[in-house]
Amino acid sequence: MQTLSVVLLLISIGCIVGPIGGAVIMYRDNLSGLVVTPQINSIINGNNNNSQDNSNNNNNYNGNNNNYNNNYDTSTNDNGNNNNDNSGGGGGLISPTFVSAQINSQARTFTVTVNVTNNFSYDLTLNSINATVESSQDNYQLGTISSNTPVTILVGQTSLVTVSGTWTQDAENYINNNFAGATSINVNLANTTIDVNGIIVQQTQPINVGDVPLT
Amino acid sequence: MENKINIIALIAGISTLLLIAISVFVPWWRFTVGNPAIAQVNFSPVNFNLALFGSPITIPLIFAMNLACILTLASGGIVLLIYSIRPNKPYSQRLLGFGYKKPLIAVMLFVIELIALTILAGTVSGIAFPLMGSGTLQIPQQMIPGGGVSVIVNVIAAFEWPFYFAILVAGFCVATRLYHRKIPLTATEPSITKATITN
Repeated sequence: MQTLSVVLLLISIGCIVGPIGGAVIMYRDNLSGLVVTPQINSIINGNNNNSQDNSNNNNNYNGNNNNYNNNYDTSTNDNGNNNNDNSGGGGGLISPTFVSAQINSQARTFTVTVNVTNNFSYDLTLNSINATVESSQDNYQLGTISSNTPVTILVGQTSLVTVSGTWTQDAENYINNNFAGATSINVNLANTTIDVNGIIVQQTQPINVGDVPLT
Repeated sequence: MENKINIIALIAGISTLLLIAISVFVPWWRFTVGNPAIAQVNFSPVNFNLALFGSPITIPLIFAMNLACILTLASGGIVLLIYSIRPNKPYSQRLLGFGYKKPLIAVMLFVIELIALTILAGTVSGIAFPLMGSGTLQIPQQMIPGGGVSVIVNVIAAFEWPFYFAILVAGFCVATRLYHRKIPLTATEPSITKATITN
C-alpha cells in the first residue's frame, strides 16, 4: 500500500516535472526563449509587415475586377482618369489610390475605382468601404460612397475596388454655384470606414483622393 | 473470489483517454480575430495553439505544460482503467483517488486559467475580451501608431464541444468516486495478512 502510494506520487511529480524540467534544461542558456520565441520577437519588431513600394504595384492587378467598366449602365460617361500619383493613406493597413470615376448625371450616381494595395504578408479580404465625399475646398458634403462586395487582395498585390455612390440635388447646386466652368473638383473622403478581415478601420482624418472630373 | 468490473470507472478511464486524443486536435475554447480570421487562439489543457496571420506560434513553456497535462491525464485514465477491473481490492481506493481527480482538476484549472488570462489580457491591453460569443473590440488609441484612425475588431470566442465532453468526463470520474462507496471490499489478501501478523 505504501509502495503504491509512493509510486503514484512519483508518477504525479514525474508527469509534471519531466516535460517542464526538460524544456527548462533545453533552454537553460536562454530562459527567455521559453516564452519569447523568435516568431514573437519578429512580431514585436514589426517584421510581419512587408511594406512594398506602391509605385511598383500600380499595374499589378490580380484581375478580380477586370470587368469593372462593364458592370454599370452603358449610359454612364466614362471619365477614366488614371490618377495613380495620388496616395491616400499610404503606409497604412491598406493603401487606397484613386484610379477612375464614372458619372451618371441623370441618376445622380457615380462609381469610383480605387487601387488598393495589400502591404501585409497575409491575404486580406476587403469586406466593405463606406465614406462621405466632401469638397476639399470647404468640406461641403457632396455625397456618399459604399462598396459591400468582398474583394480578396493577395499578399503584396494591388486590386481594383469599385465603389458606388450618389449625390444630392444640393450637391449639384453647390457645384453649379461654386465650380461653374470647372472641369474637375478636388475631393476628400471623410469618415472613411474600411472593413478588412473583420477589422474595421475608421479614418478620422479626411483622405484626399485628388481631382474628380465633372464633365 | 468475486472480481466485478466497475463499469462507471471503465467508462471514465476510456473517456479520459479519448478526451486527450480529441483535445489535441479540437480545442476546448477558440478565440477568432477578424472575418476571415487573421489571428486565432485554440486553447485546451493539452494544446495551446496561437496563429497570427496564418503562422502558428509555438511557445516552448506552454508546449511543455501541455505535455505535462497530457501525461497527467493519461496516467489518470490508465490508473482508472486498472481500478475498474480491480475495484474491490484494498489498494483500489488509492488507485481511484489518483485517477478520478485528474480530469476534474484539468477542467477546473482550464476554467480558472481562461478567466484569469482574459482578465489579465484585458487589464494589460485595456480591451475587454469576451469569454463567449461574438463582439467588437475597440483598440485603444495609444496602441495605434500614427493616430487619426480608430480600429474596431470583430472577434468570436466560443467553447467547443470537447470542453463539454471534458465536463462529462469529470462527471463520470465523480460518479466513479461516489459509486466506489457501494462496492464491498473483498477479504484481505493472504500474503498481506501474513505480513501483518508477522509484524
